[in-house]
This record gives sequence, C-alpha cells and structure tokens, in this order.
Amino acid sequence: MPREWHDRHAANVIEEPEKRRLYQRTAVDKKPYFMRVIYPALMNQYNTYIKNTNKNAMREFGMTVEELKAVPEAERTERQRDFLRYFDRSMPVGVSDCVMNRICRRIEAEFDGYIGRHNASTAFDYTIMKSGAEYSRGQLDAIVKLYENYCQRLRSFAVFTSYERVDEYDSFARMQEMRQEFVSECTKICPDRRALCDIVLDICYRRNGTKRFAWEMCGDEIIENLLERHGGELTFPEPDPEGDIVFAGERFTRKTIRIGGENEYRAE
Amino acid sequence: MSIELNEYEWAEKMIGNRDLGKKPVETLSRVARYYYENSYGKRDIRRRLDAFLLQCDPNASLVHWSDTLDRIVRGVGRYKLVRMKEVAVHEPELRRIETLEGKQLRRLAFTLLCVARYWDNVSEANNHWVNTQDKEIMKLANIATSIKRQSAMMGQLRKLGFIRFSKKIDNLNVRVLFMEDGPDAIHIQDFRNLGYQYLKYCGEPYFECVSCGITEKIREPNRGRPPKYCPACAAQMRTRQNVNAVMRRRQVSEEVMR
Repeated sequence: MPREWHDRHAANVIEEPEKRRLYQRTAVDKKPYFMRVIYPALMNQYNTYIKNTNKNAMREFGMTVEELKAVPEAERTERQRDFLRYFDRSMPVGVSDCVMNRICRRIEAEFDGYIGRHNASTAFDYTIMKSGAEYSRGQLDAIVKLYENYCQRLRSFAVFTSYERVDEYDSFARMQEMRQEFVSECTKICPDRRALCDIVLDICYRRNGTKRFAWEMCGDEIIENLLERHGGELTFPEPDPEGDIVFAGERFTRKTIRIGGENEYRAE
Repeated sequence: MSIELNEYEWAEKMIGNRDLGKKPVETLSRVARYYYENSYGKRDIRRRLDAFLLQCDPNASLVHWSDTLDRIVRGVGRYKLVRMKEVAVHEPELRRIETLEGKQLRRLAFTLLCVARYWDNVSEANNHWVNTQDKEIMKLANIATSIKRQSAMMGQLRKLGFIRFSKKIDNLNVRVLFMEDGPDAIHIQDFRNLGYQYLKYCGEPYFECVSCGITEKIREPNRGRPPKYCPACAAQMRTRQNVNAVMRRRQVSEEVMR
C-alpha cells in the first residue's frame, strides 16, 4: 500500500498541489471509532486520550471537554477554540459520522452502564438465610467485638504470612486453629446456634466488610436455614444431553433432592 | 516510573530479596540496567533476567515474558541508573510556598517542587518538568480528594504562576516555575509521604518510623509518648511478638510434658 494512503505526513510532502490535496483528503491515518472495540490497544489509547484531555480541560477551564463543546462558539476564548481544534486533530480514532460509527454510538448510548444499573437495583436480601431467632443487645455487642478482633487478626495474619513466607499447609492449619478459637468464643457468648447465626448475619451483611466471619462461624446453620425455607429440598441443574435448560453450549435438567431424613427422593 | 533516589542500591536489594515488587516491569528494567552498569553483555543480561524472574516467581511463564524482556534488554543502555543521596529544597522556595492559602495546595506545590528537582537531577535537559503521573503526585503529596478538586488545585497553581501546563492537550506533565537558588532548608532522602514531611517541617505532629523511615501522622499528639513505628511496622512487630510468645509457651509446655 503506498505510504501516502495511510500516512498524513507522507501525503503532506507531495509536491504536485492537486495530488497533494487529493491524498490529504483521502488519507486513512486513523482507524474509525467503532474499531476500538476489536483492537484492545486502540481502546486503551482512546480511553487514555479522553481521560487526559478531560483532566487538562478541567485544569485549564474548570469543565470537561463535553461541557466545553456545549459552550456556544461565540463565547469561547481563543485558547478554548485552539483546545477543541487540537482535540479533534489529535484524536487517535476517526470520529466522523459514518454509518458504523453512528450504529456504535447508538448502541453505547443504550447499553453503557447497563450491568452496573441492573446490579444496583437488585439488592441481595440476606434475611433468607436467617432463622428468625431472637437475641439480646448484649449478645450482639459482644459478637461485634469478636468480629472486629477477627478482622484485625486476619489482617495481621496476612502480614505475617507474607513476611515469614509461611507455606500453604501451615497457613491452613493456623487459620483452622483461629477459626476454632473464635467459634468457641462465640458459643460462650451465645450458646443458641440459631440466634448466633442471626447475629453474625446481621453484623456481616449490614455493612460492607468481609462476610467470611458469618460463613466460618455459622456456615452449617445458614445452609440448614436455606433448606428449611425450601422444605429440605435442593434443586440444581444436572448435565443431561436431552435437558431443556441450555447454558454455555451444554444442556441441563432441573433435579430436586430432599436433604436429610428418611424420605430422600428425586423428582423432576 | 516510580521515584527511587538510588536505583542502583534498590536493584541490588531486589536481586538479594528475589522480589519483583509492585511493578515487575519497572523492577526488571532497573535490574537490567544494574547488570549493564556492572559491565555484563546484553546476552548475559537477558539470561540473568530469566533467572531472576524464575527466582522471584517459579510459576512465571518465560514464554509469556519473552517479548517484554527482549524489549527491556534492547533499551538497556539508554538511561543510566539514578544515584542520588538526597534532593535539597531551598529557603526562598519554601517562603514562596508559604504564600499559598490552604494546606493541601502547599503540600501539592512542595511535592511538585521535589519531584521536578529529582527529574532535573536525572536529566540536565529536563528544565523543571514533572514527569510523573498526577495520580502518583497526589499520593506522594498525601492528598486524597476528587479528580475535580485535584484539577482545580492544579489550575489554581497555574493562575498564581507556580506551574505551567504542557502545550499538548493530552499531556498532563507540568513545569515548575518557582525554583530558586538559596540556602538549603530541607534535605529529602525519602520520597514517601512528601506531604507529611512538609507538614513535619512546618511543626505539625508527625514522626518518622524507626523501622522503615516513613513519615506518619501522630494520631493523638497530646497522649503519652510519640509512636516509634508506623502502623504497618507496628502490626508486623505485634505479630512477631505474638508468634514468639506462642512458640515460647509451646516450648515450655513441651518441656513440662517431658
């Protein structure tokens, strides 16, 4: 491919004026906007360019590039006009209104941030794991102190294992020891396992901290509560070549089993 | 590139500790330049980088890293390792910083000055430019605020004539305009928590950790004696003391059982 077709600098040095103007107008020196989706390096370059130009615009003018573009042409200063001119010229992708670019922008406008908005609207209801047992304020406060102590010990242990290069087996053994210690402390404060389960769930799931404490202290009770809510029945997808559920290229069938008791059975 | 006053000693330490650090490519680049300054040939440096990588992480894939290591070795002679003892800040510069309103703005100006002086020492042609990412600058200055506020502070420093922005619209580097010669006021030997070091110089309650040397805030200056260790070193000391205590108790109980 002749260099003048894809390199603007090569097109600029053509001596013949007509030929130079033709190549300058038709030079394909940038990939179009929609192609950044298929070239990760181009996506990275574009995102960095937008981030940096926005920061510079915030520093110089106190507004983003989009806000600057919204300022009427007549009200822009010379520096602002220069800034926008260089912004378009230095853009790493071609942002013209070709059909594919317009389709790409339309899809982005519809779906950008969709997963974040969807997840934010479906909050997890942790109360399905609770047993409904009552507990006292004193018990809650005591377990909260244990929870904070547990988090602190976990952090110290992480520092220790990285400093002393403890091997995996040793690390697991120590974690088990620590777990047992906290389980026995929790049982001393609240001997009723169902109430203890509710306490640890309320502590862990009402804040943004680690949920590990709840599952380590009362994991078995949580599973039992979930089973109790569903009559002891556990439904799960089982691989089946003739199943009606299709996922990731495989077929599955819904199977239900009853956990525990004499009446363990399987049903469709 | 993160800032290290003495890259030669830092590379030696990383080789001795077999540690890739938080930025493996940066570490490998410095290690390569270390070997280059010790007169190893490029082929030898390439082999040594493979060995160093495997020592740090036995699960590393040499095939995956091959292109990166080739690129590092190709450019190994371009820049020398930085070897500085300290960076000096002069009294007229500090007086100029004191004219700024707001502690955050003063910390930012101080940090930009120190970093610009560092880069001036690295390259004579630098001309007071700050060639460090703005995220890193804010971290060094101990400023935790929104991007909008950070941009506003930079804009304010520019309006007051302390810095100049780059003409390229996507280049975030700034040029420090208030460097002045004069008697030395502070000698910076550690580029961590520059903001806190400035506040300590101004007489605010900050201390240096006796273990790692980082400058940290004294949480309760009116209570008891000032702390000796930063929170990270204190946690390590506590854990080590706990482990030693448990081991001593176990030894005693084993001896008693015998």
